[in-house]
Amino acid sequence: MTCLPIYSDTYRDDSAFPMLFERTQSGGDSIVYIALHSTLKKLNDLRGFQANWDGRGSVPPTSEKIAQARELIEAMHRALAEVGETWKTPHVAASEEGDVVMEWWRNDRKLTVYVGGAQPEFFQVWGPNIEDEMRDGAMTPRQFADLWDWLME
Amino acid sequence: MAVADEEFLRRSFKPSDVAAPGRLSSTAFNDPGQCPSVDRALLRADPSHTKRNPEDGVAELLTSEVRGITNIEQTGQNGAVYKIDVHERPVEDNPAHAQVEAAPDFAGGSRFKKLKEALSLLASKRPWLINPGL
Repeated sequence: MTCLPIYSDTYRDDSAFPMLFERTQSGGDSIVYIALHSTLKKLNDLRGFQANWDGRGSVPPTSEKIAQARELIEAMHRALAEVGETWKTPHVAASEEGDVVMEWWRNDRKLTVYVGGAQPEFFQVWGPNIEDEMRDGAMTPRQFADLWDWLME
Repeated sequence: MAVADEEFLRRSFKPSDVAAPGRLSSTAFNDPGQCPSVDRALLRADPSHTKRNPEDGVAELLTSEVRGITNIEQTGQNGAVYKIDVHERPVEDNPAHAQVEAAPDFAGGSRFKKLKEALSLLASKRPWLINPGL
């Protein structure tokens, strides 16, 4: 079965944020199911953040950062689909600088992606030691597939 | 003044900081000043007093574990070494207030992001004193 991600133009309208569907074709029948809806719903929730949204003085994510995150989510999803992996909904939140933060856990491993700087950043975490049990760097959607492999090992 | 190794620390977190039961997001330790605030259990016995909002939860950390996160070696700037520590920072309405600090300060964001990862991991390993109202 081949999964073909379809991203509608309507969905790209910031004001609308309707549901995203992914169409699967099997034996001539079309099955439509929600692929990224939950992730993008969580991302859209960040639009409601105001200055000092956490009472600690944090900056809210800008529309630009949210749009940047949306594009990255779609690209990461495509990268996983190309290697036959399945997208899992991350925890979506914001940093004190208003960057979008996506986090996935599996057993003792964690993958965090920050969006909002010049380039997305990843953090691989497998323990609390900053030097020996974490790795970070800039990330492209294609690299995300390798990071996903590490998380799912 | 540094907090003693054996002291427990408490941190308030929002329901939205919970990714799954017992699993705290690194954003629970967001701090624009890069010095996350905690309360010293020794001076604030009732954990509910640590909550910032009625629906918040309260997580617990051990000072020695926070110090054990590591020394952070700064690369490219005169070989300075960062050390994570917990310092007493009492304020007018909260004498139990303390902060997790790096000395010297973090120069780049990725170091602080790693600290938040470490703190959230440690805070997820211990049972929460107060579960958030989800």
